Amino acid sequence: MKSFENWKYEEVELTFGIKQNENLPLMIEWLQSEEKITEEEEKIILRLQKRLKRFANAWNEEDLKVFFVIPLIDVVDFYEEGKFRAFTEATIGAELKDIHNQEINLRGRVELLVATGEQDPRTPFFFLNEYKPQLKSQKDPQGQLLIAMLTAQAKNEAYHIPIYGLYTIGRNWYFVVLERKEYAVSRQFDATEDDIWQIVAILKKAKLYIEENYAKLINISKKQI
Amino acid sequence: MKPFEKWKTEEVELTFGIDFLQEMDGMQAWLAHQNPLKPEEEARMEVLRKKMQLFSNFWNEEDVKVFFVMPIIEIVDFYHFGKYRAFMEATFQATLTDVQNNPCTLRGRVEMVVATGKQDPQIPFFFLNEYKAQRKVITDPQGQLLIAMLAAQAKNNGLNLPIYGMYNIGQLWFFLILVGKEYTVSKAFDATDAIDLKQIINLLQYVKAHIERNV
Repeated sequence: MKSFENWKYEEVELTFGIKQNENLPLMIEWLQSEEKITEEEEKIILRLQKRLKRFANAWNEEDLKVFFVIPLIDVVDFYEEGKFRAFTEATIGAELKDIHNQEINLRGRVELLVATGEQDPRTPFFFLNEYKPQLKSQKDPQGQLLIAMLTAQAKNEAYHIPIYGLYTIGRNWYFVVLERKEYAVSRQFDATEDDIWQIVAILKKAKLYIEENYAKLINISKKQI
Repeated sequence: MKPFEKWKTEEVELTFGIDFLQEMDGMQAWLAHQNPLKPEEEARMEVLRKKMQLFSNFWNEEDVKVFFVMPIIEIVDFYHFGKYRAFMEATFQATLTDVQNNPCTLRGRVEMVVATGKQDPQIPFFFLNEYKAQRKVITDPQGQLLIAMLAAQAKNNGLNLPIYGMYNIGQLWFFLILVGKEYTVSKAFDATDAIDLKQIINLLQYVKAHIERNV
C-alpha cells in the first residue's frame, strides 16, 4: 500500500477523478473570515512571529513545529471536551473507489488531525501537515494532504461534510478545502508578514466550521437512530 | 556506537565512575526555589493541567509532548536571541574517559536541549526527554538522560557547570542534576496536581535563571 507521503496531487486527481476549482465558494468564504483576535492572543502571536523571523532559517522541522506551528494552532485551541480534539501523528484509513470503480485501500499518517473521538480519531474534520522549506522534490505536500483528506471523506461517507486542511512549508501556510469531487488551494500566507493575522482568523473560522459540522453530524446520527 | 537510549543507569555509573547521592546541595537549592507565578502564567498552567487530567489516558506520546510538555516549557520560554535557545531532536557527541582510562565516544539524540547557539547546540545546559506512561521497560529513561548529561559535561569541558535535566513518564516529572562525578534525582512531581505543577514551573524557571547567569 502506498503511504500518503508518496502521492502526488495530479496522481490523486487522475486516480479518483477530483478537480481543482479555483473559485470554489467554500474557499472564498473561508478566506474572508474576519474573526476577532483578542489582545491576549495578539501578544502571543507577536511573540511567535518574532521568534519565527529570527529562527526560521536555523530551525529543523521539529523546532518549527514545536516552537511555532503548534503554538499558533493552540491560540485557536482545537479542543472541545466531549466533542472533538486535535490528534497528532494520527493514522487513518478507508476504502475508496477509483475512476474505474476499483476499490483502493488507503491508510496513512498525518501530522495533526482534528476529529471526533477521545482516544482515536473517528470523524475527521481538519488536517495539518508541516514541512521544512528545503523540501526534497520527490514529496508533494499538496498531494499528501489531498490523499489524506480524500481518505477522511470516504471514512465520513455517511456525512457529506467538506474537509478542511492546511500545510505549511517553512514560513508559508496554504489552506485546502475538499468538497465532494472538487478542491481548492489558497494563495500562500507568509507568517513572518501581516498575513499572520489572517492565518489566525482563518484557523478560527475553521474551528467554527468544525463546530457547525459537528452539530450537523450529531443531527444526522440522531435521525439514523 | 551505542545510542543514548540503550544506556542504563547502573551501566553509566560503572562505566564512568559516577555516583548517585541521595542529597546534593545543588538539588536542595533547586527544589527550594519558589517564585510566585504571574496571573497569566497561572491561568495558562491551569488550562494545561486540566487538559492533561482529561486526556492523559488517551494521548499518544506525541500528543503529550505537543499539547502538554512543550506548552509548559513555553511558559518559561527558553529562548534568548543571540545567547541560547531550546533545540528539538538535537544530536551531539563528546569523547569521555571511562574508569579504565579508555576514551569512549558518545553520540546520540535528545528530545530537547537548551544550549547556546543559533543553529546547532554549542554549550548545553538543560536536557529534556519525554516518554509514554505505558512504556515497555526495555529502556531506562534515567540512564538515557544521564548519559546525555555526561556527554554534555565532557563537551563543556573546563566550564565546571552543573548539568540539569528532566524526564517525564506520562504525568510524572523527574529532575536530575549532575555535578562533577555526582548526580541526584528529585522525587516524582505529578503534573496533574496544581501544587506540583507550580513547582515544576518554578524548577524550570530556576534553570533558566542559571543559564542567564552563565551565558
